Amino acid sequence: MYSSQTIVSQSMARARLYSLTTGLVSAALGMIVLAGWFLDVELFKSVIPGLATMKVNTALLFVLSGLCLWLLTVPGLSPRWAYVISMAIVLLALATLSQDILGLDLGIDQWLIEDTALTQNAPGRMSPGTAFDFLLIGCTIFLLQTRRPSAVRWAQILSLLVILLSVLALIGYVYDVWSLYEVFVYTTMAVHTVVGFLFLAIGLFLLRPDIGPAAAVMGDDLQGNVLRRLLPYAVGIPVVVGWIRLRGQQIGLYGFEFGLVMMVTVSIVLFSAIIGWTARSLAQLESRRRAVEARYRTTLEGLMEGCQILGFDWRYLYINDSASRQVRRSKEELVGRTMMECFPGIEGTPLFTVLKNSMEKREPGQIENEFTYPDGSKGWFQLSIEPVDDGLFILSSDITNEKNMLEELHRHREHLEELVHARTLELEQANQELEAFSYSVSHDLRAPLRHIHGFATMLSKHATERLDEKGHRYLQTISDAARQMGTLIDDLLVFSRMARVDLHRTYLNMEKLVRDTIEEMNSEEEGRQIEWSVRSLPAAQGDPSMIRLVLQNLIANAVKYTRPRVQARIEIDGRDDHDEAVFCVRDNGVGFDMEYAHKLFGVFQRLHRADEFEGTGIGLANVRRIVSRHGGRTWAQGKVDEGAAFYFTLPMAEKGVEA
Amino acid sequence: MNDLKCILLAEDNPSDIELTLTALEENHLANDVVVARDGAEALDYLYRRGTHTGRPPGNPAVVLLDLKMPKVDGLEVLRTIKQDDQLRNIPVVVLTSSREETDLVGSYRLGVNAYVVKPVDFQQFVKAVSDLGVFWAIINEPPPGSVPPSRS
Repeated sequence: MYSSQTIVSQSMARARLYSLTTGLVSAALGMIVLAGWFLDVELFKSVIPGLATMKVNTALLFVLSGLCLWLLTVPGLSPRWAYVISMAIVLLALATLSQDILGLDLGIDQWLIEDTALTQNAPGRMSPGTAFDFLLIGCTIFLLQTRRPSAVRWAQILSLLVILLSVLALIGYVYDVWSLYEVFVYTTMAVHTVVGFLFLAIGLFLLRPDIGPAAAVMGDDLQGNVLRRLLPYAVGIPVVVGWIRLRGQQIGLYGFEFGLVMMVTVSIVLFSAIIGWTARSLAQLESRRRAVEARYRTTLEGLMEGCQILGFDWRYLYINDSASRQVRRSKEELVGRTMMECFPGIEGTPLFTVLKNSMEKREPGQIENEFTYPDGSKGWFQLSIEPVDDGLFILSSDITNEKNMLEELHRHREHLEELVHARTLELEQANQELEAFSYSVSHDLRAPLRHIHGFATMLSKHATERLDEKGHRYLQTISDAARQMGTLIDDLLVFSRMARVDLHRTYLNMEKLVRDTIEEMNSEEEGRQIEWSVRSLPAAQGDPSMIRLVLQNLIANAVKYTRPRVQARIEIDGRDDHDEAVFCVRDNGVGFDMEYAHKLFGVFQRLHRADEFEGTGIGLANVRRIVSRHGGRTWAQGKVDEGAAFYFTLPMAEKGVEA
Repeated sequence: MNDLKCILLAEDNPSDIELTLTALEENHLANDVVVARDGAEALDYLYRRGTHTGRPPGNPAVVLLDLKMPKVDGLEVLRTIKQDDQLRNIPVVVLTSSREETDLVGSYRLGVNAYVVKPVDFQQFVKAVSDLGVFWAIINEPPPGSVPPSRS
């Protein structure tokens, strides 16, 4: 596609150059002759003094015709003028011819300049041959300016006729055959008039090298090459051989018969030589073409992709090895048969729809096609379809493996989804069971404890007198144990709820949260000397009620474990660390042994005896659970009797968000 | 059981009944209490049907309602009361062991007037229940048609 386009434009450009040149030459010729008439230069009028002159009107018409060639060739010039001028040419030619035929004198022959030559019947009048030629030329220009292909074809035939007439006249001059150019009754055609016509006609013939006979001659294909190579010989050889024969005869070297024999023989020899020469270069061309074709063929055959060419009648024209392997049929089975014969039922497939579309609309197409073999197995092919001169070219790649892999991947994913779904269901069920369990713990376990405590208390009241001190102490122990277990259950419930309830993340003003917590704590710890220090804390992101629980636990611990100190010091600070905020609650309390630090955050894990510091051992487990649900970390540092520091991290507050 | 009382206690557990009555006795309200041993009986009392067919008309000043009861549970009783034009105005206090959020939310959604978790500690329990009794049966002005406590 690409290369043939360039060839067309190249030959167009070359032909345009020819047309412009010939237009220029004929216009210049007309100008020179006109100048010759005005300045009375005999050489310009007739070239060979004594012979026929080119008339003023002839010269004028040459100028006009040359102008028309320019108008039609140069882009951007209006062809409307060519239309007007062609009409003028035709009218003047017709008028001149009518004078000759009807014997009139319209006074148009000498309207510009008087012709003083006395040898003629009608002074200043162009010969009928010239007028006829201009009639043809005028018609040619008229047809060409319509730009319709059929008109252009006729124009080319007319211009060929002018060329033929000019060649005839020219050979007459060369052979000095007076009778030839004295065929016309009144005046004879001047030699430069003939040459002018030849140029003009060639220029007009080549004006549209994309259409008709001109396209054949100007084409860059074999036809054009052969025509351009042989035509000059076809014209030149007979003229030259004929001239030699005529001359030899005229000077008496040989007679008419011998001359004829010689001419025929020489023509045969020369034409045979030229034909042989042409045939040999054609043969060379052919072998080069074969080599190129063989190269393409081997390339196509060796391709991993399958290649097929389908004719317009859906017959397989070509199939390479890969394509034959892909469909598991031999080339002999396919080539020459139609697609429908080879694969019955193919008309109903999506593939055929795509092929048909490409075939009819001459558009490229693509499709992934599943091909079922006679044994039931299947293959996947990626097809690229390209319209070519013969019909369709189909390139097919085997993508069965890729397809299978994709399918397997798909299956795995589906399986995975099923697994995840099943697991989620199991988890949901477990969660529901857990919920039912904690409900039961909350409700059913607490009731008996209440009864134990209640009745023990009532008993102690009821039997105050009858019980001794020991009895009262036993009852007290029962009550204390029941109360302790109640606290334990409550703490456990909170712990399990922290794992289940949804997080409601918002902006957290940590400084305010900390200060509120300290205030609550202070009101409960009256009579203690606690020195609080709260540094500026970064804002964070999290569930306010849960984070409040974290702070309550940590700060309550700090308060609890500094109880032995006369002057307790509790310090809360925090900082930004990349994308998280780190907080720390530090105290100068009893501290702990780092060896047991890993036990601190476990459920029911305690590093102190219950009679030293009360507690259920769930607080820090809660802290860790809440913080990790927020995506944060918890850790602790401490030393026995030197205080402890508890750290936790939270996601930083989003920029620009403030509650 | 045919007397009209100003407090309806719906509770299935005898120990809890005894503890509650003990607590109410602190303010001499125990005689004003009628006890229903499950949700169905509570509704029978309110609708004057079943064993309570012959009781004099009128609504109690307050219903103390346990949630976990056989036959008809507390939430169901609460729903029935709050959907009945005749009973809607009776104050209902849920008195339960459950601290579960679902119970809490469910009760308030149905229009409960108060929700009290029974403390394990007996002193706290006594204080909570007697405060309740005093508030709803004595301090609070009950809706018209309710029975005032027969304080002697």
